[in-house]
Amino acid sequence: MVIGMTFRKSAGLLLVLAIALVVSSAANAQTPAGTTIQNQASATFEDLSGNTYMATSNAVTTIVLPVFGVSVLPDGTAAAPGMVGTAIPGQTVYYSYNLTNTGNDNDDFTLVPIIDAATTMTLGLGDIDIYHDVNGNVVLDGG
Amino acid sequence: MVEYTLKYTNSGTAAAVGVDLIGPVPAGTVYIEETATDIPGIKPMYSIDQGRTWHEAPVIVEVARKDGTVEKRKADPEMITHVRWSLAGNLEAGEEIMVSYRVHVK
Repeated sequence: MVIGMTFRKSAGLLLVLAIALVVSSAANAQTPAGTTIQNQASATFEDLSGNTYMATSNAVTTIVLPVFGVSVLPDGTAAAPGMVGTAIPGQTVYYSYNLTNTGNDNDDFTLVPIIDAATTMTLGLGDIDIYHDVNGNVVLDGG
Repeated sequence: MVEYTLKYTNSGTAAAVGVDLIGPVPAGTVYIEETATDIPGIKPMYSIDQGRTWHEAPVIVEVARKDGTVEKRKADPEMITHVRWSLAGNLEAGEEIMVSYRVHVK
């Protein structure tokens, strides 16, 4: 994108300014998607008679694109678990994970438990349920 | 990351002298160090005060310590508000000059 502006000065000097937006790639997540970033270049100069001039370019606008990101913590493996729980047969164990939208826009996430291949315990997918722990107390509350 | 390229053309019939080219670092972005065009005769200068004063890189800031002494340290890139190029020579009629710099979006 190249946008230019021309203007005439009394001294007969004509100056063209342009801003080109050449590279635009993913922003990181602090700035919300859709934010507009404006820029406008300028110049000052003199003619041979010592008259000074100021020139400004047209403004260019960049719109921040959505960046998607998610983190689920703590992370771990069977060899190095993120959390450890102990239970007798038939007992339910609760683990608390934090799901964080690290992107710069609203997003939807579908949570699916995955049983690590290195798991030695006999465990079916139906044996694991996911709850939204709204109040973060790691307890299955009513409602 | 965004690269701003500034193209200046003297399409008049007389030379322009003492030409300063000024590129702002827009709000919401941070100047990426060492991305401003730096070629002989067009040395970039930097401002950390909205173009009031200009400094060569690295820009040094003075920070007052609690004990009253002053520590001099390199300014964070976040502090850079403008880049300026002062042309050593004239921009002759018909002459064109391009400079660029990059910012990243916060």
